[in-house]
Amino acid sequence: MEAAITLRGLTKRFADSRQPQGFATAVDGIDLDVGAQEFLTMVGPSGCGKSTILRLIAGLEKPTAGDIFIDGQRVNDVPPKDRGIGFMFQGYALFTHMTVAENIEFGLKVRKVAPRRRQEKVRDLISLVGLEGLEARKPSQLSGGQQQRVALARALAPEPRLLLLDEPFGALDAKVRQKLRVDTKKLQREFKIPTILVTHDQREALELGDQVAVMGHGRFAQIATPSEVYDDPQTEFVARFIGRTNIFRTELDENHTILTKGTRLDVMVRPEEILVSALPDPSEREMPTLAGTITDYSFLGRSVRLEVTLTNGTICTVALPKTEALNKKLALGSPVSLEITACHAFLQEDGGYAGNGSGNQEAIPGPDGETAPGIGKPLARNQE
Amino acid sequence: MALGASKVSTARHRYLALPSVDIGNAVLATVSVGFLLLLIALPLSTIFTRAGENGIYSFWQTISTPEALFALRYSLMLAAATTMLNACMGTLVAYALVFGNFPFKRLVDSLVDLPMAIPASVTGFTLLLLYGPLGLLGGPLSGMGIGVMFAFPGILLAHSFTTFPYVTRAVGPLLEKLERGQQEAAQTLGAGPTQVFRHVTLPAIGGGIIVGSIFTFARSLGEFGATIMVSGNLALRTQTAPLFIFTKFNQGDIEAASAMSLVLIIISFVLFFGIKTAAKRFGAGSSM
Repeated sequence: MEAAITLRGLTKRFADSRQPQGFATAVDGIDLDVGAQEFLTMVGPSGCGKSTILRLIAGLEKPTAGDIFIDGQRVNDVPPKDRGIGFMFQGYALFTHMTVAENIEFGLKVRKVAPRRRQEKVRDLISLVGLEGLEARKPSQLSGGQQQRVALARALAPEPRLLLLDEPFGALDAKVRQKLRVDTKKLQREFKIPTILVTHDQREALELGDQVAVMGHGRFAQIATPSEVYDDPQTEFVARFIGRTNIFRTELDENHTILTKGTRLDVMVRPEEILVSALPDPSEREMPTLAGTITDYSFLGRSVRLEVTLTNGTICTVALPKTEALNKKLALGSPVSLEITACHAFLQEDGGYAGNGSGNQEAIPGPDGETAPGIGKPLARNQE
Repeated sequence: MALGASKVSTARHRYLALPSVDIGNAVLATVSVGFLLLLIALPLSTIFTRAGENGIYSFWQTISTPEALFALRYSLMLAAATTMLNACMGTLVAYALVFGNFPFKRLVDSLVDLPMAIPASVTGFTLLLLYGPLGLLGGPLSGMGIGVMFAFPGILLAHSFTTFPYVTRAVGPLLEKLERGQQEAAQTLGAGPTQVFRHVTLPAIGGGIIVGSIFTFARSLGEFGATIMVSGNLALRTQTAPLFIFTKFNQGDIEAASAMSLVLIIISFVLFFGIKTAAKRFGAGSSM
């Protein structure tokens, strides 16, 4: 099946006098394919270039290098108005002097759709996004959530070939955001429209995306399904950015099949991949390798999050179901032992993330629990 | 009811408890209102009594002389032309200053305000030096048979110069508020450059253009300092209404000067309320 959007070697540099080279690279030679009905979420820290990619696809910025294809057609030189893209802007950019209905109608009007057809379409969209009765309001008379719906309806009205959403839920409070996420995903399925959503919220990216593209420094660190990105991160950057995680800076004690003794590794362990057992009395028993004390206890509803300080001073974050925590009578100050059930290790690269999706930071499949000792000082913990 | 009554009495209590504020307020109000009356309202009302002294018939006689009618018509035409010129160019300059990308942008930005600071007579004098028959530009132009000074184009130039900031400064903030967002949204929805301007940009800045234009018209109608330098003050040829007043006064024809003043004041009042209404309606130009 042909991809709806294809990017090849897409690069964007902006003039920036503060940089030694005189420019800043926002997008650094990226490749991407988005399928015909796919919902792709792009996630990364702010300033990583994800919004620039959307603007390049929409034609609002000119690429420094590389090609953009929509439905197999190269669109580099096609003006924005002819690209057939529904773009939802951060902050919505609604036409402030127009009513809700006029905003939604705009894309049909400038394309010279017949007035009767326009009215029908506007009515359909208004009921679809649940804005009945607000047709004559101005954007300033709407709540944030309502404005977001108008922006979505306006983007969908001209029946675009693809939908680009730039931080669509950024300005909304948590409750509204949750509802609109679900609604947006439903609409995307209904319209069967290829969609790229940009967000800095990794939870949003995992929840909405068929595919998640994790981005850092103008490049993709990994493009995969949400569960792959979460359970099998390809780089340490992805592991740190997606989900909460413990990262331990370690050194190999003995030779491994492919690695030699002394190789420095960062070991990443998800909080839910640590088993906790209560220790009745630490002084009477032989100490297990990973023993410690609960130094923080957070009740999160369905689950409980613990902070365990090990005897060597390392701090681990552990998550477990509430019932389990209650059964094991875990509380602040309880002595516990830990068992790591799964982990990922990354070759240490000093200076942090190197930013290459397929390059020098290879993920090593996590060994089982018993090979986990040798944990040193944590480099950083509780990344979210 | 009881609740309402108690509220009123508390309010009165507080009012009485703070007499110092009340005295301060009274002084403030008396001084400022009194000063404004003395400075603005009293002279204006004098014109009404002066011009009406000899009755409406006499007023009509004075104002309907060919010389007076010409001056009035000339001034209105001049103001209209100045307004049209500045509405177009002022908007263009505002657009360039907000969205454009060119060297010395900040310098150009302050250049816009310069006419506010320069004495009008100096403006007229410099134009005279430049465009006069012996001037740098005026020489070649007069050689081609185009006389700029002591004619409509020269006066238009002077008026456009002195009133230039109004439209630009009324439109600029509205363009800044519009930002690129709405225009980009319109583009992605299929609008070409002209459609973007017509449907998005113009409606957003239209109020500013209107408010700025009324200001321009009003200022142009009253322009004196630059006009007297560049027009030559030729009756029935280049004499504007303010010059007519000045000339008649110098000739001792107080009645004619008063009559023309009254007409200008009435037009100014109409424009003034036009500005107020437009500014309120479009929320523009409130900074001026």
